[in-house]
Amino acid sequence: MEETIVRFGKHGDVVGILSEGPRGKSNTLLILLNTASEHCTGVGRLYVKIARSLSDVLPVLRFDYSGNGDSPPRHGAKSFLDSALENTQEALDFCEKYFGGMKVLLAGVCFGGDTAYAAALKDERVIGIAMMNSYFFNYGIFPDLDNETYKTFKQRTYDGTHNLLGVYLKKIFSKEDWKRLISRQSAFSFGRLLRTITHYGRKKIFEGETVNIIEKYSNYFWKNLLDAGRHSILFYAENDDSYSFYKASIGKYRKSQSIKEGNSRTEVVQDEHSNWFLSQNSQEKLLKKIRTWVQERINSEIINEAEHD
Amino acid sequence: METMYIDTSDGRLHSVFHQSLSSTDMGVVICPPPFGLEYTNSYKALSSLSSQVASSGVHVIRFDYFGCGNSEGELIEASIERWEDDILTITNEMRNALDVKIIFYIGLRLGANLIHQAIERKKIDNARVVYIAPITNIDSRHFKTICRRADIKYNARQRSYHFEGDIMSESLFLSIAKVHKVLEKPSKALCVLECSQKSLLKNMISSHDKHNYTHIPLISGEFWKRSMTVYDQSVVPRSEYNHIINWMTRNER
Repeated sequence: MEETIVRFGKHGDVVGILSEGPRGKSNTLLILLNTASEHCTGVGRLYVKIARSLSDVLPVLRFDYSGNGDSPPRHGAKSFLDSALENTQEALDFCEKYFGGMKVLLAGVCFGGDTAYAAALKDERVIGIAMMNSYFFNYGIFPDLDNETYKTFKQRTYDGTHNLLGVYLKKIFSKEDWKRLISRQSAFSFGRLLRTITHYGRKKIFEGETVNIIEKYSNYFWKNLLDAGRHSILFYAENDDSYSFYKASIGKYRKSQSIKEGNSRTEVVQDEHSNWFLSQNSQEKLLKKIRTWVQERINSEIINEAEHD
Repeated sequence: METMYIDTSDGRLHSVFHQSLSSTDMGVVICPPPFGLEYTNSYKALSSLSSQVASSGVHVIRFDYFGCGNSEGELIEASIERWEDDILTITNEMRNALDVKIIFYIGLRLGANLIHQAIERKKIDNARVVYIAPITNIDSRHFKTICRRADIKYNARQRSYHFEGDIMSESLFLSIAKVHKVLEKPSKALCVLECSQKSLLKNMISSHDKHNYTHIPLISGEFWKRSMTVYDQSVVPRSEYNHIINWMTRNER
């Protein structure tokens, strides 16, 4: 396995690392997209491990978004999602030049998953996406949806799926948390506690207008993906809040869109010790699942090409 | 800024050179915290610090230790001694590539303790050191601070600790658990700047020449109360960079 530092983008200012092994029949490559806050090592070195372990199957590129890690920020008025999307398309251009017309799989944790989704809808070169612990929190990935709808969706689903009351109940008995609260080092928000109690009391989180909004948003998600004809896989750590979020929103409306297993599937990584693919156990399970998915995509591409010929 | 791999006998170290545009014989080696949340959280801050120091006319290099970040190797193979060797390798690389004579070291959290120990053990001469929030009082809670997003599990069969997706050998874990004690030994550095909330190092380094010691109250408690959900000393506000650069300029000769 060989790792090379590469630079690409309009001004050659996006820094990435390309991991390559002996190339097989595959003309597919994988690009790993970061979360909004980490650089290209990923959480708990997850991306380093994915890149190194998959380099015997296909080339893997991971890079820092402009303004993150080693890539300097770009001046302008672009939102972070737009800038990340621009970087992703530059990465696709770079790979096309470097390898000569390859098919691309995109994968990302959290914000990286959202970026993968948005890029897949825009770019024909992307044949599949893997979203890991994604919240679909980025309004920008649904350009036709109005901002108010999105805000309500985000707020209500977040409040409804995060067991804040349970969290606060736990904290009442924690000496450390009391210490932090007294020394004003805690992020405790009285407003959020009130809001949670009110929501729980009225049981209004998933009622009325909110349900319509969540349904509209979720159907939008699936329809866009199906129309674009991209294969998708959604990975969730069982204990992560994003999984509850998925079950209460996007996942719930999956059936109504009659999505076939061949087009998209959701896989859950079970590990009681970690909610963020941070334990050795959950990372190994995730790696295995990603490897299987990548192999499937490569095989499917080979069959498609053979049929085409 | 140039990102590259530096060859060592066991594997390549990922490093980033920030070359100053003006000709200078001064260089800075930045030693980050090796792993965990502190590594991730401080990456951007140290990158900005490097750019700012380089634009003030000093060459800067920062790197990932063996088995950490983008460098080769696995954490299970790493040791404190190996990481000290990495600091030396990077220092020599900088000396050779840029003909640097005066070297400053900036260490953050565990990185600060590693430099102190490297200077003490490997006898680096004429080092000028900036300690940013060094670890002066470690207990089991320190591991919670650096790995707060995952449980630490001990594997008795492998004699190793599992955390944050990595496996750390028991010997490394134990070495880190007493890493604060290295600061009790007198510093052999030419001059020391401590950037932390309270001046802790001055008392610990009892025989240190007080004239060569400077303390900057790095961040007020208010900083964390306002902007952080968690108490994380690896987050350095940009407003402090100029203090560090000014101190370096004063202690250049």
